[in-house]
Parts: sequence; C-alpha cells; structure tokens
Amino acid sequence: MNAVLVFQEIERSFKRGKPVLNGVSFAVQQGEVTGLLGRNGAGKTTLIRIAMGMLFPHSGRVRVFGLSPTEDPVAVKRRVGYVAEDQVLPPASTLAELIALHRYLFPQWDEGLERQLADRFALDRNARIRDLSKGQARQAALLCAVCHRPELLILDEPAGGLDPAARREFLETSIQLLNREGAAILFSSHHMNDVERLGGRVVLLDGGKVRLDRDLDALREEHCVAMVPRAAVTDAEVLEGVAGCLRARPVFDEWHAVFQGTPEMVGARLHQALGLEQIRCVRVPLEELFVELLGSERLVEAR
Amino acid sequence: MTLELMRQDPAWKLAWWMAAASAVLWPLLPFHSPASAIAPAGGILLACLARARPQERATLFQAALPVAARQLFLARLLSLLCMVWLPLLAGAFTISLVRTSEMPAAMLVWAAMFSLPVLILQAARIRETAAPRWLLFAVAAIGLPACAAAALSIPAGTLLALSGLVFAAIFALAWRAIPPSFQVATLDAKWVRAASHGRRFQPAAWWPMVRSTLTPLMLIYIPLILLESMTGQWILAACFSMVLLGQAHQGTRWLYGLPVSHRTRLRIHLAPALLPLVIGALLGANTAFWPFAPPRLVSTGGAQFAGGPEEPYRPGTPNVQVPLEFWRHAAGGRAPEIRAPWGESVRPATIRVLGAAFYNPYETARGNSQQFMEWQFDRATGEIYGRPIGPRQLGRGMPSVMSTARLQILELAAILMIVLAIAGGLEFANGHRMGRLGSKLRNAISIAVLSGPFVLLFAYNMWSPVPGLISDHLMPLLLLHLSRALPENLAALAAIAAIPVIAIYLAAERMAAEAELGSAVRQA
Amino acid sequence: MQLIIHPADELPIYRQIMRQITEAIAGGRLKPGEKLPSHRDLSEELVIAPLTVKKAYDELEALGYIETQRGRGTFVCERPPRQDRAQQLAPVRETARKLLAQAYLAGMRLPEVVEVLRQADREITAGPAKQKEHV
Repeated sequence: MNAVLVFQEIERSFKRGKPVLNGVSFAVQQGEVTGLLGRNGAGKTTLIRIAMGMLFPHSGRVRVFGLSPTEDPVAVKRRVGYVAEDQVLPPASTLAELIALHRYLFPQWDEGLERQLADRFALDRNARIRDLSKGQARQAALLCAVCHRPELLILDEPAGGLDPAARREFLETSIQLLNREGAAILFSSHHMNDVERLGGRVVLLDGGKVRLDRDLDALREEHCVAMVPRAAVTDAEVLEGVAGCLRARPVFDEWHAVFQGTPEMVGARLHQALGLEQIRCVRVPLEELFVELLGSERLVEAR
Repeated sequence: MTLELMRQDPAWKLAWWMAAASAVLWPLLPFHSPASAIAPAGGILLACLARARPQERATLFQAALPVAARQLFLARLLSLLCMVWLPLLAGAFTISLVRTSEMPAAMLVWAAMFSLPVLILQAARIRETAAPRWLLFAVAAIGLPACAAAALSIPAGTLLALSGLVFAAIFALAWRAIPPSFQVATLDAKWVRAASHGRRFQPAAWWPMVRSTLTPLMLIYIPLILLESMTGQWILAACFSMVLLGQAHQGTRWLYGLPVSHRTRLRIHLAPALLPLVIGALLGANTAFWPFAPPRLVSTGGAQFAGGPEEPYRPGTPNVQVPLEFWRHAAGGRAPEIRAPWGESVRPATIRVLGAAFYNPYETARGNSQQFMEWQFDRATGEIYGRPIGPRQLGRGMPSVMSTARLQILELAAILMIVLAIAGGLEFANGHRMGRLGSKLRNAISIAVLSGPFVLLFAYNMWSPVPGLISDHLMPLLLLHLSRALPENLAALAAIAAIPVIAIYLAAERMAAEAELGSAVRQA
Repeated sequence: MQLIIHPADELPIYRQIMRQITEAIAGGRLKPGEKLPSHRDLSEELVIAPLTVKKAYDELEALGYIETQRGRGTFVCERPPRQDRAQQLAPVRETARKLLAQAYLAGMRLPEVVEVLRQADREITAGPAKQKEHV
C-alpha cells in the first residue's frame, strides 16, 4: 500500500505568532477514506489547500502521489478531484461550457459517468451557474470533479448548506467512486452522520495539531464518556490526571470526562484512583465524542 | 440617524480619501484647460464610484434594520454626492490657492453635472433596494460622457441652473415615491431566456477560463484604457490596467483547483489588460480619425516652454512646433545656431530631460521675422510630410503625422514592459513569501511596489520644468534618446527591444509560480 | 435484505449490520446457504462505506455465521454455530433478571413482560418491516 497523500510536520500561520497548523503529520493510503474533523477555524481548509498546492506550508512537507503540489501542480491536479464549499464555479459560464473545459483539462474523462450523474442530479446543461441553486451548483461541481475518475478525492465541507437529500446524493456518488475506482478520499465535514457513513479513519485537528488519528470504529469502541457528579471532584485536572483521560469538562452539575478504554475498565480506574463508585460510563456516537472533546465548558448560570 | 448611516457607508469613507488625494494632486497635475482634464477626472470618478456600488440603496443588512427607507435613501444619496463633490471642491480649493485658472469654476460645474447621474441611479426603481445593473452601465457609458460634453459646450450659468432644476425635480419625484421599506428583490419576475438547444457556435474549451476574468466593470475600463492608450496617456492607462489585472485575479480563484499551470494563469490574467492597451497604442499611432488624439501636426502656436539661456518665450509668440521625435539632441548642452540663407538666425532653447538636452530645430524666436518663420515651417513640413507646405495651406483638416516605425516599436516595447511589470508585481504580492510576513508589512510592501513607480513619476512631474503630463514628453523623449543609440535596422531594433520584454515576462512567470491563494480562510 | 442502520446509534455501523444479520439468522429470516449481497451492493444500498460492510462480513465469518466462497459470493453457513447452551444459560438468566427488575420498577406485571417477549420474538422472526405495525 503506498501513500497517496502525505503530510509531514506541516506548519502554517496567517498572523504572526498564531499558527493555524503547528506540526500536522498523517498520511492517506490508496483506497482509504479519511475524515478530517475539527472545530471551525481549526485549520482543516488550510490543510486541504496545502494539499492542493493553493497554499505553501511555512515548514514541513506535503507529497501527493509522491509529487510536490507546489512544484508539479498540473501533474498532481490531473489525478485529484476537488470540491470545496468555497470553491465556486464561475457564475457566468454554463454547465456545458464547464464540462467541455474539464474534458479538455482532464484527458481521462468518462462520458458515461458524466451522463449518468447529469441525469441523476437532473442538471440542465445550458443553465448558467449563477441561475442554479446552491445544491445544484455543488452537484455540478461534484460532477466536474468526479467524472475524470480521480485517484484521490478531496472534499472540503462539500455538503455544507445542502439539504439532506442533496447531502445523501453526494454521499452516494462518493461511495460509488470508492467502489468503482478504489479512490482515496480525504474529506472534512461537520455532519457526523455522513462521517459515520463514510467510515474509515478520523483525524481530529485541534490547536494546530492532530489530536486523534484512529479508525472510526475503533475510536467509538475504545472511548467512552464518564459522567462524574460535580461535587465528587474539585476541578478538571484531578480527573484528567487519571490514566487514559483525554479531557474533562464541567457540564452543569456533572463532569463529562472522555476516557480511552471500555466502560468497565474506566469505571474500575475511577474507583481505584479517586474512590468513586457507580460512575456511569457510556460509549457515545461520534458527534457526542466530538462535542465532549472539543466543546466549551457548560457552567451553571448564576441565578 | 442619517449621519450614522452615512458614516458606515463605504462611499463616505472613500470620499474623504479621494478628497485628500484630490487636494494634493490637482494643483500638481498639468491640466490647463477643462477640456483636457475632464476625461481623466471623469474616469477616475467612475472608477471610485463603481467601487461604492452606486446603484444600491440599501444592503441586505440595512433592509432588515428598523430604519425608514427614506433615511436609508437620504444617507446613501448624500454619501455618494459627497464622493462627487468633496474631491472636486478640495481640488478646486487648492488649485485656486496655487494659481489662477479657469479650472476651479469648471470643476464646480462638473460636480453639479455629475450629481445628476448619481441621483438617477439612486432614484430608479425606487421601491427596490437596488437599481437594475444595466442602468449602471447605461449611465457610465452614456450619461457621464453626455454630462462631460454638456459641461464643455453649454455655458456655466445655464448649466448650473438647468442641472439644479432637474436635480430638484427628480429628487422630489423620488422622495414622494419612496415606500416605507425597500423590497430586496425585483418586483417583477425575471424573464428567463429559454435554453437554446443545439447552438451553432461552440466556444473553445478554454473559454470559461478567460470569461471568468471579465467582470461587467470591464465594460467601463476597457474603453477607458483604449482611450488613454490611443491618446498616449500611458501612465493613466497603466493605472487602469492595474485595476483590470486585480479584477482578473479575483475572478480566477477557481482555477487553483484545476490542473492549469501558472503560465496559463498568468496569460489569462494578462489578456484583458494587455489587449486593449496594445490595440489602443497601435490604433492611436496609425489612425487619423480619432478626434482627441494629440495633433501631431507641424503647427504654429504659442510657445509653451520657458526658454533656456536665450530670451524666455511668452505665450502667443508664433513658433513652429513639431512632434518630439523630430527634436534633436543638443550635444554639449547647447543648441547650435540655425541660420537662414539671408542671415537671420536663432539659437533654440533646450529642454533638459534626465541630463540630456534637446532642442527644436525649427524653432522661431520672438525677434525673428515672419519670413523666417515661414522658412522654418517649410523646412519642418518638408522633413515631416515630405514636401514643403505653407502655413496658410496647412489647415485644421491636415491628418496626423504617422509616427515612425522605429518609435512605434519602442513604444510598444515600453508599454509591454510596464504592464508586464505590473502583472509581475501583482503576482509577487500574492506570493507565498509575502504570505509569511505580517499583514501590515505585506500591505505596505504591496502598495510600495505597485504604486511606487507612479508616485515617483508624479513627483518628477512636479519638479520638471516641462509642463504637460509626463507621458506627453517623457516617454517620447526617452525613446528618442534610446532610438539614437540603437541600430538602424528595424528587425535588429525589434529584437533588441524584445529582450527586456521577454525578461520581464519570464520574471512575472516566476512570480506566478510562487503565488498562492492567500488570505486566511474566513467563515462564509 | 432489509437492513436499517442509524449512523448516530450507540453501536458502530458495522456492529449494527452484524447484529441485524445475526438476528435474521437466528430468527430464520436468513436461511442457511442463502446468498448475501456483495460489499459493493450493500454499501451502495445502505449508503455506507464498502469497507464497513467488509468489516461486518469479516467479523461474522470469524464467528462462523457466514462464509465467503471464492468467485461465488458470500453465503450464510449451512450449519450456523450453535452456542453452547449451558454456557449461554447464565448470561441469559442475568439478562432476564435485569429485564424483570426494570419492568417491575416501572410498575409492569409478569403477563405484560411475557407479551413484550412475544413481541420481540415476532420481530426477530418476521423482520424490520413488520416492526412498524406494532409501534
């Protein structure tokens, strides 16, 4: 298995002294699906743009298919499909013109797939992009990105602002590409349901670094959330000092602490370290895990 | 409340910057008659107005506020009028401080005239938040030139009275028609053109890439650039092309996701800016019909240059003027004496440009006779037109003298160098090395690199003894100077002129390779 | 095959598939020797990643419920693994006690619990489509 996309110690900042990416490293293998998660402003789009050669990293290396996207942009982009929430197609051109342009730029264009997708999305080829709705424009962008059978599909919040039906169609198309081509997919999304469906691996960005890099199912099965009464522990550091605790935050009259381990193990550990009995530990879906790891503190409002 | 709204209006902020710039620049600019100044002034006003979205009465945000539509309208109108009046008032004021001329009065008339299109834009379709876009172009393309023509031809008093009346009438009508709140979309449904099936004309595959650089604003800028380059105003043409290049950059952001090389991207950026310039230059040099082209006649008229060591000329002295390419270099800094067969002579005054002195070989001084002038005139027309033509036969209808091929080549090379340098500068401003600097430093460097040369040129214009806009004399003189040093053969000349052009183009390509899709990701 | 998955459920998706297939086999909805859909087909039908389907199938194969035959597809095993009855008795008893405790605390009586058990039996044997009728 060779790596399609490799990030090595990527650093990038936009304001002096405030790095957005502060040493991010991971790799995406051929045929692998990787979800990039993080709060708004965590650097997901920046990282994706660095992979596309749109931004130069201030330090570190990025390699796509073994090539540098800033030195060989054309060779890299020919094999990559890119859909981003803010990558707007030019509004004045018609869809037919844009498809002709993509056919010209990408030699390995699949007309059968193009026809199939155009029919499924019910897109009018002669419509100008500015006359399409947001969902249709994004589907048009997906069509243009996917029909040349890319080896790597990079999706930057592709379903942002789309209605659930459009989001589902997006997923279906991506899965179809996965099945047929064995394409690797790197996508960033806020819709945890979609992330769960696409599965694969999850990379969580926080504070400019990779906070978590696990297989999704392993992540869900090996982590749980313990709910400790507020009165039992004085502050978060005590809880975070217990082995395996990733984060503890106050939520009204409880502490929610994310632990690595099964609920039974965590219960035992809490009992051992802090003498706490009958602590409720549950495995949670990805969205809850995300919120517990990255969410803000919820304190009781002063009455 | 109105004042609060005005303060937030971009037009208001722009108006003050423009006023400051006007106050400083107008006395320095060597426009002596309103006719020569109105086109650039109108153009710059148009450019700044376009940035302030003059057809919009209220933004979506303002339409949702609990503010009466009348206040929004008033605030917007006043801000836009400030943009028209403040710079012209400031310029008129400083001009009148520095010297007496007819410009200040003319500028006030212009302000009154230009207020009308602004009001029309604001008053059209008053019930909606914005006037239709085609109206903006109609006003820019027809309205502003019409106002300019009127300002030049109709006497000031009647013009002021007339425009005041029209303004008041339109304002009253609009004021009465304002609804309590604005509609954010057009009241009538749009006509949608039926999709044309089986179009006969299929544009080339790469057409969308070029199409994305074109903004409707270019409908205004491209004719301006054509105009400026046809009349030889290179500096202004270069300024406007900088705007076009910037717009092209905005439109091609989507290309970064596609396998398009930086070379192609650079060429796409250059196309809309370079083509009108080059076409305008060639047209201006080779065609005779354009009424605003500088007359390249041999002419008699008031001398304009303060003289050198000989007696100073005063306006009104008949003199034989020829285009600058027929001036001669004064070796040793002093012009030789021109002696007529019957003994009368003149030692022409010289003008110095960057250390070299040039003189007009057909000059006639105050003390010379009419016969001497006619003799000089014959000599001049003989060299330029190929045969002697007397001043009485040379009427106003004489076509322009063709520029020599040598100078056309050099001029073309110079224009290309300027625009390519600007394009390279813009790519550099977007480069990743710049991205590493703090934003303040980055902005400072960008502004210095892109506007520095223009500032230097304007500063030179301030101190040079030669009146007239720089492009009028500096470039032809420099090229003349250069042309004497280069080989006779046209092909060799073209080859040598091409070298710096190619070098600058390659440098611009290098800059484009390092460009990145800057600025921090903002939440949409 | 009527599988329903919920992305935000407590169980990861592959476990949901495993559980539903296991229930279907247990309830007799999936007969021994019946062919299961391929990874691709199931992934496109459920709109989930093919690797997730593969993971579920692999786990089921390891447990002995299904088997893959090269070139022919994936089939339910002819002889599904019988759990050791004695071994399973204790956990089933434990679960029964928990169930009754929960029900008695809610004020239910034994006959009602038996009715609940019958309902669950119907669901396992009849399939998810029938579930809607009893809601």
